[in-house]
Amino acid sequence: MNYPLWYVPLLGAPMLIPVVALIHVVVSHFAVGGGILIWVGVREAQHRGDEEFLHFLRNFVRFFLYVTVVFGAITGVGIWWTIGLSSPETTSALIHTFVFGWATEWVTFVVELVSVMGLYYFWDRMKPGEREGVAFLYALSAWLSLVIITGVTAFMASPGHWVQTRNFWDGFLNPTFLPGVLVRTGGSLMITTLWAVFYLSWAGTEEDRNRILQWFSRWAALGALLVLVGGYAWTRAVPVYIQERLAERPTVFLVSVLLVGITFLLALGLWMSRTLREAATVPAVALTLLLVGFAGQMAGEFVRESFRKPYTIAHVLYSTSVYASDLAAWQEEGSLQRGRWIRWAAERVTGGNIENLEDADPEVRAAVGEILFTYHCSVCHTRRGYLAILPRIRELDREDIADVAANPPDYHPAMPPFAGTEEEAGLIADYLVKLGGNR
Amino acid sequence: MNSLIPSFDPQGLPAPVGLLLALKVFGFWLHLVFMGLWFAGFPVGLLLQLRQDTAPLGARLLKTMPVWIAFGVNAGVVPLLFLQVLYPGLFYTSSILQAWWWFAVIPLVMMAYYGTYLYALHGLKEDPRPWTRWVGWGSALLFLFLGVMFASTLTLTVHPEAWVDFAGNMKGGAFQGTWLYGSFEVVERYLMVFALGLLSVAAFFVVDTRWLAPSGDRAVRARPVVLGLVLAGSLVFLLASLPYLVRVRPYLPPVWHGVIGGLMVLTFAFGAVYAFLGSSNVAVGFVLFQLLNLLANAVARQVVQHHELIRYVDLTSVPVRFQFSPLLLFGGTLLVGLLAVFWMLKVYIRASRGL
Repeated sequence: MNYPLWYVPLLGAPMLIPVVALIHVVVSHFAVGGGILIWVGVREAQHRGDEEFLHFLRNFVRFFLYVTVVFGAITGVGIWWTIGLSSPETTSALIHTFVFGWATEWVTFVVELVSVMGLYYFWDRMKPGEREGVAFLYALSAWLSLVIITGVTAFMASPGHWVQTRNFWDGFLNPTFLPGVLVRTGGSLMITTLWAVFYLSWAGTEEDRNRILQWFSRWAALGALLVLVGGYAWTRAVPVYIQERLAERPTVFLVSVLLVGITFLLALGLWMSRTLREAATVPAVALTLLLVGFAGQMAGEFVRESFRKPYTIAHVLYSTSVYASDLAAWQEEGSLQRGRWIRWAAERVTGGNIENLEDADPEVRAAVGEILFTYHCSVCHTRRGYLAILPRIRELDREDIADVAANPPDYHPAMPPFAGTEEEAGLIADYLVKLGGNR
Repeated sequence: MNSLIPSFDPQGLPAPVGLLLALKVFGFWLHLVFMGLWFAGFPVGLLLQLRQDTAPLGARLLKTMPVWIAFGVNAGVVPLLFLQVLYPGLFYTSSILQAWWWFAVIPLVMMAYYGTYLYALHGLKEDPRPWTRWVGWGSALLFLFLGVMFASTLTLTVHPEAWVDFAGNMKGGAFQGTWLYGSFEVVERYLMVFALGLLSVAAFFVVDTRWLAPSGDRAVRARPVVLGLVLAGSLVFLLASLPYLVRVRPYLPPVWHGVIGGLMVLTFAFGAVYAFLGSSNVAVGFVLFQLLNLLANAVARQVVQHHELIRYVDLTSVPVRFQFSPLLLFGGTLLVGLLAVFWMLKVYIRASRGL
């Protein structure tokens, strides 16, 4: 609540983060898995003297570059853009903790760019050993980029000893780091295979499709195994409150496990059955498989993101951008006093008087309540759109609403404690009563 | 007014201020080197395509454009990263106040970037389809427009006193983010970067025709183009920088006025002499002075920004929580990464010569 908020109708600014992030992950994982498989593919094809496979890989690199370098790179920057706009406090915390981690990731990205551009422009003019070397550098740098980003994202769910030590390595090598690396590496191999199926549905000869798809599918099977092992380890490594939430609401988690399981079986099927390979490369089927892969990956990301609530950084920073260590002060002083943008906005609607609102005009109380609702609740709830507040309070009277506003965790474990006074919770109730026409 | 500036991140600074500022300036310089090639270079390349004698020059620039964009976007991450480390409260707030504009950068860059690839692949053929021209100009205009958003947001970052002007764009205490900050300073900064870009494009033509893809014919044709670009770039820079330098005079030590002016004169002089003589030594001088010109501007901008903001955020009073090992990780990776890049460039140079 240190920063102003961005009003995004019907969706809420924080919901833009998953929108951009989910689009990005399906491409960024392709960038990593594709890098690994292009390198392994080049190595195998050159050692076997398999010109057809090399020809396929050469064309695949073009498709790969158009998807990953443009879309992947820009949406990657886009996540950063979006979190800065929607959750600046968390972004700032991550950047101030891991700035040299980000800087290191930037170096890996430079190497990625130089290598993939080389594969794109000079494929035919490089010697075999050079091509293999460049492909290896791409694969390594892309995977290291994944490792670094996983350290930061996993930190948000399980900061581990960092909470006490504030040590970079305690934060980076946190309890879910290794499981995260396994899951993401496996997911990269899986999604790359589905991208390859999609690509082969309109490129290459029938024999190419059969042979190359068989080659890719074994990597997808390996990927699925990594995801299952890593996923299980992740559920054991997350903080207890996330484990409890997973146990209480297992649906999304089970769906993602199911999708990974299906992918594993599909990969085995593609490996063993030519008929299945032919069926998979029918364009509509290939597209469907790719979309199912997207859904699986998105479900996994959704689990990671949503079960972290009420925190954005577990046990450190609440989703309302209030540090857990500061919560008592916010509750003591009130957000109208501590929240600089809340205070400024409230002074504008009250004519400068934010001290004695108990006897203020109902319209003024509701106007201040709206500001408080914005800063305390709109991180998750919109008025009438995503996770709309109105249907949720339809049956409640003012006192009930005030009680929910004052004690959110009593009503839902994903809601953070209210970082304000009881009087401020009452103001929110006044606003919502006015908005919904409740008693 | 100061009461609206968010308090500094409780983690403090992760490294000494001087180091963070140096990395920010280095990143901005690197970004400027590449960014000018598409920001000013895209429309220049398209204009050169309109005349038969200059079309091959424009084609070379536009064909390599995807590469410059890739590296320019990548390099742009560095100054933004360190800006967020040094001035989080000022930068995040400014971007939130005009959030839709800032957010729009992502889809617009993507459109312009894909447009660039489309143009490089289809618009440079012997008989290109008419739509390719639209795509090319569309991308060029998008990049020019994107520059406005950067100039606006980064200027607002150093003028928190203007934040209250956004009050009319609020709803329920939150900002709708549909207003865009504008001032003469935004225009000046935009034009200065554009002018530096024109000079970078001139340097590109010199490098390309002499060393990257040596061609006597193209080198001769490039010379009047280089002259036109250094004239236009220097003139626009002069017109835009004079009022800007007057405005920031209290913040910029006199020596920097001299450095900026001197390097600009030298860049112009070497560019103009090269256009007439076409000598290799002058070409080297021109390119070096342009790189120094960009560096001097990046440093001067940082000096101005630091002084503009010191009344709002005194970085010397922010606690520093420095850990050496992450810096070592970065430094080590950078060293290994540079060696890898060096090896790959060697391979590509050999490959491009078909040896």
